[in-house]
Amino acid sequence: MSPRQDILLVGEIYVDFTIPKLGTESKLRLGGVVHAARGLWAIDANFSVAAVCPSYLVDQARAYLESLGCNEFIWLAEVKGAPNVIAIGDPIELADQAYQDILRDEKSVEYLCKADALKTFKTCLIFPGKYDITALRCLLADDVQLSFDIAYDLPDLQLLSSFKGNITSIVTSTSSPMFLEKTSKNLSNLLAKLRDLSPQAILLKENRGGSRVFDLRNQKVDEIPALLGKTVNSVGVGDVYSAVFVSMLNTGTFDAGWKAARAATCYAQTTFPDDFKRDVKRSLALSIDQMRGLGGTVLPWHERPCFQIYFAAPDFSYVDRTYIEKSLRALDYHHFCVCRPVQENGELSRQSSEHKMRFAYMNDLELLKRCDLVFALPLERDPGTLVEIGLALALKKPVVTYDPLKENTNTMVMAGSTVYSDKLDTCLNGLFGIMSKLRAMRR
Amino acid sequence: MGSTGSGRFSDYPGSRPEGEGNGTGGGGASGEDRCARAFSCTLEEVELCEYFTANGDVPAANTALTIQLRDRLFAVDASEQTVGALPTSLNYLADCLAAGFTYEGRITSSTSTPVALISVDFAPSIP
Repeated sequence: MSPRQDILLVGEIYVDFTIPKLGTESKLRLGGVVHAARGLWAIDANFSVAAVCPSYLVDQARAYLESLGCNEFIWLAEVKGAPNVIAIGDPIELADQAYQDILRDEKSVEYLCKADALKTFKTCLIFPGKYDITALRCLLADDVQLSFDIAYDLPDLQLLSSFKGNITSIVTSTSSPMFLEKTSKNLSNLLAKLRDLSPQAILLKENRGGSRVFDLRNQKVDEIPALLGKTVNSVGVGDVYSAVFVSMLNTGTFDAGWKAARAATCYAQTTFPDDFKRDVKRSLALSIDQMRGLGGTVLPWHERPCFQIYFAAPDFSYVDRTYIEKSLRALDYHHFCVCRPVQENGELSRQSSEHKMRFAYMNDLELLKRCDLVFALPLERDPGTLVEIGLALALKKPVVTYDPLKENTNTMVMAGSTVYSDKLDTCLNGLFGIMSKLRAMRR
Repeated sequence: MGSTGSGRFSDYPGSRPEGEGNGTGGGGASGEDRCARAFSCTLEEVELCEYFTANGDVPAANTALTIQLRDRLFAVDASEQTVGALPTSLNYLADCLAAGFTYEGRITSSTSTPVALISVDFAPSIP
C-alpha cells in the first residue's frame, strides 16, 4: 500500500445545537471533528475523516464532508445509546459554555472499521472522545505521524503512552479539564508530562489571551496574539486551530501557529462556511512578518492573576444579582483576580454607624488604589459604583464599564471608561486588551 | 447565521439560503463582506505619529486620510504622514488591504488639547 498525502482526522461527529434565547435564533451544525474538517477545507488541504458517530448520522455526515472535499469517509466506530447531540448554552464563551452531551451516561462505542483501513495514512490528527483511543494504535501504520488535541475527553495522559515515538504535536487548551487540574500554579507540571511523550511541538490555546507554541526541538517558545473582535460563535474554533496547525507544521512550527490562529479567528466570526473560507484566504495572504507586526492581545493564563481587578458594583446580598453573578462567572472562568470590596471589607447594614461607613470607605479606597484596573457594573445607577468609577479615573486606572441595562449613558461614564458597553463580550475583550497592554509595559 | 433553524443541516458550502423559519434559512454565504463595510473609529497613539510630531497639532476636520499597513495599521494623510493608529480590533482590515480593498476617510472631529483626539469615518473602495 502506498502512503497517502492526505491528513486523516479521527474523532467523534456530533450535532451541535445552540439553544435559542430571547433575541437569538437556534443554530444547528455538524460538530466534533467536522469543525476541524471545515478548517482544512478553508485552506484547501487534502484530508480524510475516520468518524465515530451513531448510525443515523452517517449518511448526513458523509454527504456534508464530501461537500468539503473530504477524500474518504471512514465510519470508524458506532456510537450507541446516545444521539451525539450537544446542547450549547453559551456559544460565545463568556464563561463555561455549558455543553450538554445528551444521554452521555448511556453512551457506548463499538469499533467497526477493517484492520487495514487506516494503515495507509502518514499523518493523522486525533481528537479523543468516548471511544477507546488505545485500540487505535494497531489500526494505524507503524510509522504514522500523530498529533493529538487533548483538550477534552482524555482523562489520563498514560492513554497516549502506546503512541510514544509517533507523536509530532500535542494541542491543548486552557478550557481543558486536564489543563486546569495539572496547572494550578504554572505550566511546568503539564509540560513535563507532555515532554515524556516526546512530541516535537506543543500548542497551548489560551482563548482570548492568545496562544503559545513550544518547539521542543530547539526549546523555543512563541507567543501568538489573539485578534479580538466580535465573536459570533466560538464552538469548534479550537478544533479549526488544531487542524490547520497540524496541516501546516511542514511550513515551520511557529509559522503554523500564526496561520492557524488566524484561521481560528475567522471561524469565531462567522458560521457561514463560504464567508469563513473567503476570510481565511485573505487572512493567510499576509506574511508572517506582517502578522507579527500587527500584534494583538497576549495574556497568558498564569499571568492573568498578576493584574488585580477592582469589582465596582452593588455587590450586595439584597439586590437582583443576575448580572453580577454572570459577570463574576465570566471573570472567574478567564482566571482573573477579582477584588470584591463588599466581600473583602464587609457588607454594611442600612443602619450602620458613620464610623463603620468611614472605615469601610477607607478600606475600599485602599483596595482600589492597590488594584490595576476596574471592572464596573453600575446597576440601578448605584451611587457607590459611580463614585468608584470617578475615583479610579482620578487615579488614572483603566475602567471597563459593563452597563447591561444602559442606565448610565452619561458622558463622564462613557467617555471616561476605556471600554463602555452593554455587552459582556465587548467588556471581556476590553479587559484582555488592557491587561495585555499593561503586561507589555511591565516587560 | 449559516446554520439557522433545527430541521436540517443548511450550511453546505455554496448553498443558497432558502427563506425563513424552522429548518430552513442558513446557506453557505451571508452575502455580506466585512471588508466592504464603512466604519468609524477613534485613532490611537496620535501624539506619537508623524503628523503630530512634525506639527505639534492634529489635522483639521475634513482632512482626507487613507489606511496603510506599516507593521500596525495607520491612517495617513495625503503626504503619507501617519496621523494615528487604528484600534487593533480593526486588524482584519490588513487582510482586506491585501485583498485589494482601499479605504478613504475624512476626519470628522479633531482636538489637540487636553489630549490629541481624532475621529474618522472611512469608506471602502472595492477591488
